[in-house]
Amino acid sequence: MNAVEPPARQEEIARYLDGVRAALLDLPPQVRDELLEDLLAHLTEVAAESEEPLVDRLGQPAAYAAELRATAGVETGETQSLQDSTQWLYAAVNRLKNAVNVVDRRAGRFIGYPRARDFLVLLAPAWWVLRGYVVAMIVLNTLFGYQGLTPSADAEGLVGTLLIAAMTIGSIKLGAISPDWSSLRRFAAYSATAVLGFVLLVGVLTLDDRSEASDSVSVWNPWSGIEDVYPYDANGQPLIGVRLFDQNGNPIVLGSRQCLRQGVADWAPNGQWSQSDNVSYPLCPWPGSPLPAPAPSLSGSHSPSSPSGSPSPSDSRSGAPAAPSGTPAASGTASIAPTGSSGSSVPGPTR
Amino acid sequence: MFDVDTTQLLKGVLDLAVLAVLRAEDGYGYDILRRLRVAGLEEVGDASVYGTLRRLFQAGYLTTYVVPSESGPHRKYYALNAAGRTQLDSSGKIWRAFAATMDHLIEHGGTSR
Repeated sequence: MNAVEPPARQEEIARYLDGVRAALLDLPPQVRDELLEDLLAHLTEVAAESEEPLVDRLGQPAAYAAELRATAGVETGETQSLQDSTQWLYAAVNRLKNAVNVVDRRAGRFIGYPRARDFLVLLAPAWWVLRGYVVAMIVLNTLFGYQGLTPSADAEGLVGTLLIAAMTIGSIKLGAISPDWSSLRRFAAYSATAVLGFVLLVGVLTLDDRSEASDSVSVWNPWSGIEDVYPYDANGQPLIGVRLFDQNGNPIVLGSRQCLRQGVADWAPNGQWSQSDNVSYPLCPWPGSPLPAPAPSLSGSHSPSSPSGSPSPSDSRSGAPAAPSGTPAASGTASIAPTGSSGSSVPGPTR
Repeated sequence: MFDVDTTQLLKGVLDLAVLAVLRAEDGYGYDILRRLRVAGLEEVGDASVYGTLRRLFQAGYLTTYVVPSESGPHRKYYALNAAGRTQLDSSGKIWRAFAATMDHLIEHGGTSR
């Protein structure tokens, strides 16, 4: 068609095109190019219709540009460029929305509601309650190191209970007023809720694992911290080579047998005793040094339990085994424990 | 230049008109415009058709392809895709319902139902 157009006509077309482009200069280049893409072809065809001037047929270029911009849904400036760069995203989201609607209707019909979301809406208040509880439990877990599912029945538990109550009420209130919020705030609220749901799922799975694992360790073993036993006789004299047996005649095996005897490590490969081991206590008598003198107050003590063969929870008192001189406590006399009284020059077994 | 009343009415339904035209056959801008005018919508502005085509394309209802032309610029053809057909059907239903309502309103002034 260009071949038969007189040059004047072509120039008119070019001028019209320039006029429209000039009116669109405030737009981002990509948008402008899209709007102008078909214009040349259109002007060419219009020009071929009749001899009528383009401005008579189409209006002034500025007016044409305004109408084009308006019907194309273009907003000026930055908002449009942002929109354009994500237009494909909008289209994709539209398709996704359509698909979701189809599923919504089918699932809904299956469970007896017009749409599945009509049923889910009914569940919303229950979720609000659960949400408050979850938030409170997260706070308790992270700030107070709480591990359980319900608060304990003490002062700390009272704080926990109040926190759960406050969070639950807050969550219900949030659920009631959030539909009135602007869409951005609503989106933020829904995102936070989704994260919360995920945390809840992780928490449930973790507790599940933990409850399985805990079956194998059902009782806290108070003797698990004991590494060695230092028996003393009634006169406060330390004994060595003592063998301990329980009421069934089985040897009592405590400690991990790991000790350093004059620099030589001596420990069982797997740290576990076999029943046939002949274990004599103390496992690690002090290397080459005289046994400490007995604590003076020990000789006159009337302890309910005899020194040998009676385990006592003394490890909680003296955190370090470096005071065997002070472990008359180890023999069951809780009343006296002159820690570091004498014999502090005696090097104890080191760990 | 334009009849204002018709223009106002057209603004609302130009999307539907363009979709309907494209369902019959793919077309490029000038051709679609001609078909609309032939169908009776003489007041349709050229720019409006192109703007509508762009908007429908951005919304994901149309696909485009370019057909080279021996004489003159290449033509960009528009075609309906599945989403466009769906949109046309639903918009058509809405339009028919609306038109029936308006008819009845004009007829009876909303007094009898």
